[in-house]
Amino acid sequence: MRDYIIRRVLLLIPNLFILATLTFFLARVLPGDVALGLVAEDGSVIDQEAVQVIRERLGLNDPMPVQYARWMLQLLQGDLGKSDVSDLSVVHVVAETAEVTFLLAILSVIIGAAMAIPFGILSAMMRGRWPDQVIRTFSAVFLALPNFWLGILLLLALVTWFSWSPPIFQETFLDAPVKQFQRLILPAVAIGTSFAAVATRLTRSTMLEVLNQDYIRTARAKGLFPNRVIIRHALPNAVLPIITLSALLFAGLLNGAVVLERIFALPGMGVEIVTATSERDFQLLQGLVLVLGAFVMVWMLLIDLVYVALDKRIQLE
Amino acid sequence: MITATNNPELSPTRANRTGSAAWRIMRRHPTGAVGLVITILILLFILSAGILTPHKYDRTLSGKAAPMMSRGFDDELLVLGGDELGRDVLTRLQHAGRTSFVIGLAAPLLGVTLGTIIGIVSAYRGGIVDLLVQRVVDVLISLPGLVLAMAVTLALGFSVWGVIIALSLNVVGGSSRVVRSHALTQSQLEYVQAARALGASDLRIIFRHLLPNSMAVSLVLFTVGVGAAITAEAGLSFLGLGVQPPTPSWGNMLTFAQQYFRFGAHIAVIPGLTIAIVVFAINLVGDSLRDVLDPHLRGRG
Amino acid sequence: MPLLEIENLKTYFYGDDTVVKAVDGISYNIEEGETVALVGESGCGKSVSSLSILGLIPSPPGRIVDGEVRFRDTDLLQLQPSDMRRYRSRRIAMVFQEPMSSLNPVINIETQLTEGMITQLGLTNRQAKDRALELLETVGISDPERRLAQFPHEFSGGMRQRVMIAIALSCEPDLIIADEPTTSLDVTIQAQILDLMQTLTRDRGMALLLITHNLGVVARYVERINIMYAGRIIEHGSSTDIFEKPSHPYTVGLLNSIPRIDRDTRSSLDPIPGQPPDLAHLPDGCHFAERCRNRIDRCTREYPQTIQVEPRHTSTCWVANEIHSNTAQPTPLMPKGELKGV
Repeated sequence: MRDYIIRRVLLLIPNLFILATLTFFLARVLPGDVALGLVAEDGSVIDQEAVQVIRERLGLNDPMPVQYARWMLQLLQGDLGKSDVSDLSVVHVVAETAEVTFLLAILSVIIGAAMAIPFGILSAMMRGRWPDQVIRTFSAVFLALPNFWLGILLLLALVTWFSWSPPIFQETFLDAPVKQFQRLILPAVAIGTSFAAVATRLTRSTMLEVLNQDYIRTARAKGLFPNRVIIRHALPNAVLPIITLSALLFAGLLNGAVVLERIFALPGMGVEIVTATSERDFQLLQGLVLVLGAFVMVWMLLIDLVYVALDKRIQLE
Repeated sequence: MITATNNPELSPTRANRTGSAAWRIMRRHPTGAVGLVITILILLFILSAGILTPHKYDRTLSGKAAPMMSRGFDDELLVLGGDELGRDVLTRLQHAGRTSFVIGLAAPLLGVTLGTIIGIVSAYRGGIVDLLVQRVVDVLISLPGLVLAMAVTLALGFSVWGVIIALSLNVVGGSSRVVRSHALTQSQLEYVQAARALGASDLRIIFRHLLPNSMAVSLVLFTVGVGAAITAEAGLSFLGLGVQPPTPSWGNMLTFAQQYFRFGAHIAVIPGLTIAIVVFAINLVGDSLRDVLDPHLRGRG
Repeated sequence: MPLLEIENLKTYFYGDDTVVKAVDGISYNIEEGETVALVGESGCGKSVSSLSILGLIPSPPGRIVDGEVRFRDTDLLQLQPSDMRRYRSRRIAMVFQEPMSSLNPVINIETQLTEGMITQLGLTNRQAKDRALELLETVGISDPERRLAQFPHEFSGGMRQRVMIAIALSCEPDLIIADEPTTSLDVTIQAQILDLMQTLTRDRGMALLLITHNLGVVARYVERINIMYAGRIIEHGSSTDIFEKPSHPYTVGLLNSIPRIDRDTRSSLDPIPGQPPDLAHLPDGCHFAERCRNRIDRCTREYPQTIQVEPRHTSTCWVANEIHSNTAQPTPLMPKGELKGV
């Protein structure tokens, strides 16, 4: 058990190394670089000399291995560098934008789980009867709706009928929780419903699996009340796999966040990544992607460890 | 059971039997059959591009119709109305469908093929190879696919092929992991051990035993991937980082929807609804296919 | 009046386009305090028939289509689910085949042992716990105080089956149905568990229905035996009758395929050829005909009638009387107490 945890945590090191390498090359495969954009911003004709000056300053003229080594060294010192465009520290940008993205993701998970878990359980218990059919049909439909399209429609409806448009402000969640919640709730509903569509099926199949187990038959043979069989005997066995499997969907959830932030004009990491990509702001892009990837990795590791710690049945080598 | 039908001796009237087996499967999985029919209808709709309407997908219509942002019901000429540049939405929908379908089929095909090979080799070789390959897979799985795809499409220059390659990368990680775990259980089974003991070469074991046994899993992964790829393409193109105008795709038809929907919601509703219907239909097929091919789930659900 | 009387019970499983007749019209009874065996190969429907008694058939796809299960004059099949609940473990308790998977892995032994008593007998937690401690000791688990707090994964297979027996005893039922209780255990443990069950039920005057595929195992434990084949009971009689004067070719086959101490050791074991029929596509005529050595023309056309070969000894075979008189040769008495399953 302890060995397993140590092993998993140690594996994080090569994973992060590969992630850092990948983000570096992900940025470098982009055609062109930031210098052209920076110069053109002044409105002047592209001045080759100025371009060279900027490239020299940002180290973009160095050979690729040198740039790579610099990036890795910088990371080893715990420094994400500065944005090539704005000269702001990347850590600062991440700090400013992460809140919106993660709040959005968490809110989506809560909304999704609040729908998925009860409906999935109900669906499994009523297998083959009409509530099951209805729930399965709905989850199949919502699975097919692109969540960004759902977002557009929600926005469209509000703008048309209530003349509402997404508020733009700078306060953080702690300063203005209600305001923040208001602007996040709609995109979260859009992401949450598609998350719920997957999670409902997951909950249903896990629950069905559990209800098929011998110990459920034992519980029924004891003459327990059906409620107790479900709540005390089936649910505790289903909850852990449901949570674990749902947690693995988190990376996919961030996909939705990237697009929904754009639609609802939210100042999150997704929008920042799109901007950094189009401006060829390598340092910023690398930093943002690295943080996002590392977060998902650590998250999945934690979920895995919690699962192992809680599930008494798992026998590790 | 799959190998039995491959044996000509066991199925003398093979064509006949395949036909009736297909019929039986269709009857047993009516939702899958419905999904298949919808998919075929939409494919026919897409393939009739250039025949069904007299318009061009990239030409602004002018004159009497003046169809800019006209809705279907107030326009005699255009069934689904015109878009923000006065182009026929119906014609564009058909041409866009080509792009979306090509990407939707090619990306998971490429991705699942790669994923299957990587998964099998990783499982079969084990040891250091497995360890290293799985680290890369770990990283691929943890990155939001859209971010990865954005960079790759930009690098490959926005072509349809660029998008296909970019989106296939999203599939590689996940599918290789699923195939790997399946192949791991397979390679521990007695028949593989026996083949190994008999001195079969690695390549032979992989191609004769592991690969055929992973086909069912890969096929299901592919079907699931089609719907996902169509949606992902739409997301990418919506952000302006996928297929570029003037080539229409269901995703980039939505790019300007947000700015113009005040003038006509149809430009937001129609492409999105089309995506939803297609993905829904394909998912129905995928679910039935999973029921048929996955013996673990058979009889449940 | 018998304690439990099963009449013409039929439980079918409905597939997409097939009907599996797992139990197809069986009748037998159990007297108060009696030990009865239901014997048959795996897949012959014996487990399904026992699950049907308590309404534990997974439905869909299973359904009880006909028959009566009378427990002291109450037809259990007519009960509402809420009334049926009261019979489970209070009147009829079960011990299942797989002790490894029959206990809930995430609930401690104390809860699993006491919850039935709390629900069915209305005991308080304290009373239930005291009884649980007693019960564990009764079934031979030492240090019960510590064991109660443990989880199933901390118990061995034999120990788990003892816990299952304790659970079955906990509500003082009138009948315990043990469905292959020892099949998945080591041979040495098997006899211990069976001895334990026999002693405990006898002491408490409980009836015991022992379901097994192993005719040898039940020999010394039961008073009467029902032999089941392909969803139906094909022979019924006292333990002695079945062993000494088997009157159905299938029973004869079963007896020939187990090693017996009272036989010439040089004679080889003689397994029954062939496979049991597919319950979804049963043949016309006798289900056993295809594998039968005593087959006559009639067997493949008509399902045989049940013939009484002796008082309280019946066989469903066209040639039952011939078989009966053939096997009823004077042989040494069945050596009770020495015959054990292998």
